[in-house]
Amino acid sequence: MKTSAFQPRKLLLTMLVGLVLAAFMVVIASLVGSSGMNVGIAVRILLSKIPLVGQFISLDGISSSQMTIVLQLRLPRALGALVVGGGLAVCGAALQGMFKNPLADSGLLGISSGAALGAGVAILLGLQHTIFGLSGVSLFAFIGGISCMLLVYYLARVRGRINTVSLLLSGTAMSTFAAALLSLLMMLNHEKMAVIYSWTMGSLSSLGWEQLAWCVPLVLLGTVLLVLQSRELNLLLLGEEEAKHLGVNTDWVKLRVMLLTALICAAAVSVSGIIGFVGLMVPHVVRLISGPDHRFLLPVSFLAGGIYLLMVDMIAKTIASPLEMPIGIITSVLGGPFFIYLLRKKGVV
Amino acid sequence: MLACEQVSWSYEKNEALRDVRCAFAQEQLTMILGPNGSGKTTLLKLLSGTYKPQKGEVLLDGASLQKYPPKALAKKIAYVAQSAKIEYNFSVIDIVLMGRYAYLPFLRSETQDDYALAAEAMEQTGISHLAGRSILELSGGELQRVLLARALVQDCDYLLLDEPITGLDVKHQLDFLQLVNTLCVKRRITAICVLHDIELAYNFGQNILLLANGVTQGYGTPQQVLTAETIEKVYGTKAEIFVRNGRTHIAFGG
Repeated sequence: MKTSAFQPRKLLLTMLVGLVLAAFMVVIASLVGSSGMNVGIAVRILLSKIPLVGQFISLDGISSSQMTIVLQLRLPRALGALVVGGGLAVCGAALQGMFKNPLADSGLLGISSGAALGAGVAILLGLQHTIFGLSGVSLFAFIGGISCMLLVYYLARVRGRINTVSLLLSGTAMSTFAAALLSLLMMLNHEKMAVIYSWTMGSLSSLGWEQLAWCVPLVLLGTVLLVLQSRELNLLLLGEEEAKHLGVNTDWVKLRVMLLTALICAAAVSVSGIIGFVGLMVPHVVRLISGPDHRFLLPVSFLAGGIYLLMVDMIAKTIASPLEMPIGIITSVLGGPFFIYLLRKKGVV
Repeated sequence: MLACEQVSWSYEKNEALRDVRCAFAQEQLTMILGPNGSGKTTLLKLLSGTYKPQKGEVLLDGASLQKYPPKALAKKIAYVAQSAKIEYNFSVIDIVLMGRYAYLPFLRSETQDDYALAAEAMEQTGISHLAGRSILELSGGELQRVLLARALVQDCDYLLLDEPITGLDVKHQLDFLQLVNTLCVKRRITAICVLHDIELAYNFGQNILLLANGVTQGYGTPQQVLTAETIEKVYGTKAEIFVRNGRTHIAFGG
């Protein structure tokens, strides 16, 4: 008897390999930056913080500035890249499934533009101060992203029903509207234009432990809850009516998935700025390898997105050293051509 | 028991069904017949709960269809759509197992029992050999049988089919309808099937529900409902009904 194409053991194995790879990349990331770092020193510093193992690691001959660089700058930044990239990718995967649309990602529901507008307003109001690790810009970006999505959802409701096409349309409309408002704000406030503009191109350079402390739990919690919708998302791939006939409460599933993606994406974008193409591209690459089953696609996309963004962030740090390139530029410059290559190679993604 | 009580439905201003009243014969195959635009598919959508009647009620075992939560409904009524298009690369067994969705407890994956039910359904529909194949590689006839197998693992009492043989060749049309007939008996299922082909409906349906302009023209055995006079009245074409080698044939026109 043939069994399902979905094998929990295969998923577990893939996740393990992914986690090892992610840990390896974090070590590499702690070596890369404007000041040099010796592999031995970086590994010793990192290992010294791991419970149980840490007590056997000697930190002799390591300066406190080296400790600070690895533990306070590079490690949180690397972990942040993993979580932001993972969050964006898992959102893209879920939305592409829910809409049965290969072009869907969190940008499509207005989350990114709403967040950018929120951040722009905060920057203009001079709310760059930080309270409990939460900067005004992050908070406004988070609120902007979530409220834009809620508005999109509200606008797409016709007679109590949620139509997928009207969701996509109202998402596109709201995105354009928020982007236009942001442009207007920038035109009216020339002196802050550069700050706002650089936020919209994304950067992980300001990531510290304080921001991770609230962003990571939100993204991880959202991702776990999203993975729990895998079976419903699989059924939605058959079409909405089919899913209903099989017992799926489709309106309720759509609302859950939208709320969760808004939560994950707004939390990610609020600390990183806009990072394009990760949510669009990573799930397609994973799908090419694994097939459409969300039970596999969602968790693996999370890991793959995280590892991908971490790698891109290393490029961002080094390519124009000592200056930093905005990470959003690199993801798009790399992502665009690669995506076109994929489309042409496979015909249909 | 699945029944319509004075059900009416309009699209905007166009009335599609008016005061349809019908109690479908248990554990038999009923064919819904009628010319284009007579309301056949609309009626099926009302019976499946996709549409809510604007007047009247669809009753499932004595309670209004609207009272059933989605999962409870999926355990009672299964639906095989007209040439459903699946665009994603799932394996056949995964598609069939999706029929178990309504039965799976939260966070639980399919058990041996679910696999056994899937195996049984696939054997009865003659697709056991396709289990590991991609759904995208199947022929039209194979795909319809996969969807039928998926409906069977829903362990439904009622099976709704919307022109399930559209696009199949003659041999597959006959095989498919024969299969549905057999399953009604074997699994004690009440099947309701929208069909275009009057002759096939006559030969395979135990009952016929004939619609014209959204109004019931009769419900009963093919012999009772499908007379030359009613066919001419409803379809606007002359018909001659004759029996040869135990099969009923209908010649049109003239």
